[in-house]
Amino acid sequence: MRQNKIPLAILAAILVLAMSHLMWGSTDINWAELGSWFSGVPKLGGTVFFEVRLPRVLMAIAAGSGLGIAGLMMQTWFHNPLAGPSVLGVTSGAGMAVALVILTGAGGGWLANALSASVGSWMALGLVLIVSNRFRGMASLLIFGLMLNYVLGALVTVLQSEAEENALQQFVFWGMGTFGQATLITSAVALALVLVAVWIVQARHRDLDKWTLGEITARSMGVDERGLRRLMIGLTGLLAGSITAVCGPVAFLGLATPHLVKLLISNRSHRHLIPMTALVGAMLALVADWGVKGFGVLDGGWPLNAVLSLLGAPLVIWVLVKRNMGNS
Amino acid sequence: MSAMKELGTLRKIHAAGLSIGYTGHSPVLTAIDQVWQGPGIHLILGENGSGKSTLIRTLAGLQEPLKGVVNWDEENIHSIVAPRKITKMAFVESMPPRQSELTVDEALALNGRSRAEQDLWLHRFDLLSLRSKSISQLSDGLAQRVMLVRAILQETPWILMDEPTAFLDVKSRHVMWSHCSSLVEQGRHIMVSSHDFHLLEHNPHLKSVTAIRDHRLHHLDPMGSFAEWSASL
Repeated sequence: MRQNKIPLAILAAILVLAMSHLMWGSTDINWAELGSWFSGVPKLGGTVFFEVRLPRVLMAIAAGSGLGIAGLMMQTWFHNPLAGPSVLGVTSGAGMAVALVILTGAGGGWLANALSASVGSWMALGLVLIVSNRFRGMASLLIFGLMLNYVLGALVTVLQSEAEENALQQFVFWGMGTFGQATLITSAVALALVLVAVWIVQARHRDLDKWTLGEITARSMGVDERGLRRLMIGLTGLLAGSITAVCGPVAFLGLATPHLVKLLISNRSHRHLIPMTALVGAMLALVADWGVKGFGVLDGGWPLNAVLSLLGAPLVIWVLVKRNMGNS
Repeated sequence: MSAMKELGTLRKIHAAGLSIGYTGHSPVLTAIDQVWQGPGIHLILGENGSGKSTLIRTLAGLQEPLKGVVNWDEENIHSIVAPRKITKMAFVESMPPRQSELTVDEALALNGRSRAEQDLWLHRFDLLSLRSKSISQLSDGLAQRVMLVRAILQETPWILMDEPTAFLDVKSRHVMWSHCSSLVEQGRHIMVSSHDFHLLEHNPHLKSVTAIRDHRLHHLDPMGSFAEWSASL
């Protein structure tokens, strides 16, 4: 396929997938009832469409794009194809906070989870920001993020071992991830946030390209290293934190999306990588959500994170194999 | 050469009372008072760990001095904003980027020069056939050649290079140095640290030779011999 046709093809795929999610689900919608939602006395069709399906589709698009962009930023920033938004401990921070709320029996309920996930990811992010001002090398920051993950993970395990069965079950469900808990407002806010983030990152595409040439060279080409670092870390935390708050810890999208993009197009400048990552991430999330819905075959479908891992891991391995074959 | 008229101006680099090194550690070099000026190759010699990289990065404004100032012409580099800085000085690291997936064309396009100019330099450096290859797929020698072309296309009067040939094979080293000489013929200033100084012996473009020994800078005769230079290290 010609290079310039690929974004259009993916955009078309997103539209088709989104339409399919809107049209089919566990309930048959009486389309004549759609308008009733605006009338104040909504009927079932209107409610299902506007309060269940539309928010879920918008959230899947926002989460796929947002986590993909966060993954791309981390991979570029750390010069490391294995980096992703969960690497800095942001997702674990959210997980830890939610574990505290659910497992100690202090709260529960979706709002409490979302709020504590936000607070947790921001606290982890704050810690990373403080540390990133002290550490000189990027490898140190990456290792700090990994260690933070271990510590938070261990604390969650301790909480789990002490928790009651009921709370434990609730926490496990949160950990599976879902786009289905979004409301029209949260999904719209998330989508707006992602669009703004994409726009901001796109404006810095040259700086990101320069950054790939090495820290010193980038500086000699006029890149404001400190500003760029704050932007990268801040946006990643904001994207990963807010998406985790609504969807739970979503696996693989951040890591896998940039790899798939690099398989689809031969451009490596961020001018092309950024919009493509946003598009492909949204497409992957919508595809995965069909797995969650159960293809109409599996009763009840599978948890989002299971689908994403089953989809994502072979994808990344395939990319690696293909890349190695190209080199030899 | 048409590109020359676009070069920014910078005649001399002046270190005044300069101490260099990393904050929290004892300084690598102190009390540096020296001027480097005029087109030609300015060579910095020193053993491993003597402070060559720190010196060259500090003079390039890429690392904070511990004390003292670096002036480019009469201006303290601290007061020169980034957009003007990049018109005056380009920098080549010793290790070419091994992880950048940018293609050669994409990397060079970052300088914002015309396609024709880019092609001209790709041709001169025998890189035209590699233009759509990713830098990460090139050998060290080729990748470093791309980085030198990138620096040239920044169209600055000065190009500073920190051991640019350290990772290159013998043939690539010779190619690199002959390219440096041809740049000087076009009026550029090149400051370079290198262990390869035997390749620069009797080079008519050599403008100054500075050796780092015992935490001090020493001036050597640019017309001197390899043996004399080695003896003073």
